[in-house]
Amino acid sequence: MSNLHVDSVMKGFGTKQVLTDIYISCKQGEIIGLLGRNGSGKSTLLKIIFGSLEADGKFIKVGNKIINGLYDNRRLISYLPQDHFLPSHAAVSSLIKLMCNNESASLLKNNDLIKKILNKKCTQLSGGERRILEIMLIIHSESQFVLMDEPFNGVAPNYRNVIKQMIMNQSMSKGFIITDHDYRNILDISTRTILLHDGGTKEIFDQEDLKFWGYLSNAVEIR
Amino acid sequence: MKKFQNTLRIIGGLWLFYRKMAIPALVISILFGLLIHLISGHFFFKMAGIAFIISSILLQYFVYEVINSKEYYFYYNIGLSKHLLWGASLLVSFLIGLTFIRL
Repeated sequence: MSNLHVDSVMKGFGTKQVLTDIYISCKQGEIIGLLGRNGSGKSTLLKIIFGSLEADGKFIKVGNKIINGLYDNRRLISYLPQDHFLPSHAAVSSLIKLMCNNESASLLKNNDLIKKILNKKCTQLSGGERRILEIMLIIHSESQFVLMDEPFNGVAPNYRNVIKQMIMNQSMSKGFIITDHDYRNILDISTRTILLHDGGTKEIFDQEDLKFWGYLSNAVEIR
Repeated sequence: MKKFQNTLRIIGGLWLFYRKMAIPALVISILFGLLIHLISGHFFFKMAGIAFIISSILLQYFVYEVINSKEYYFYYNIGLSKHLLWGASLLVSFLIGLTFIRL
């Protein structure tokens, strides 16, 4: 089984050092929940792992392959950004063909949600439909590791459960690193939880750890 | 077979990127060529070809760098870098423009 190894990641913006010597590893079969306050560097870290943002220093490896940039991560790492990213002029069916292999494509085309929008263009979709399509495409892409930045944002609660189930199903053959401000969704599905705090990572084992590091106030109870 | 499918997907991704500004660039270049033709009566195809190359570069910059920069993430996810997208698009635009010029 492959392993995503992220080590020695450093990134600063101006005089502010956002990430200092980050270490994360993710195996296929794992769902890592990445939590952190606003501005803690969650999105920055995911972009650096994906290769779309330059770091001041990094060492990223999938299996034995060292990932230096976007060109190296092909079919190894996929990334769901926070904002809509699908080409607006493209038809849903052609996007599925471009992002998924035959097996995943037929799985998606038979999905009740996708069936309704299969022949539409992205511009004809509502914001929520577009987000669900983006999430499903990324989850079912060929990559071994999937990075998801706020996947549940803008998605109706009933579809959140569908997406969580899909992530859990796909995690049998893939590794996931997921961040979201609704930490309950993350805690529901993550096999391991990591908190970004003061530029470093803290392994979280229970709700007391989240309170200890100041992510939750003492008044908040986790389900 | 898998390699062939991957090649088709790369070509499909490049075409998807290019076609967004190819048709507007073609319309602009033909209108420009017609305008020049109406004014001077000369160089219809040559001017259209030059206009196509320039307008496709400007449109590509405007469409992808200014308005839809987030769409690059789609192409990154299918393994196409910005250099490859720009390089392939410029090459095709030059070839189409040169074809017009040489008519």
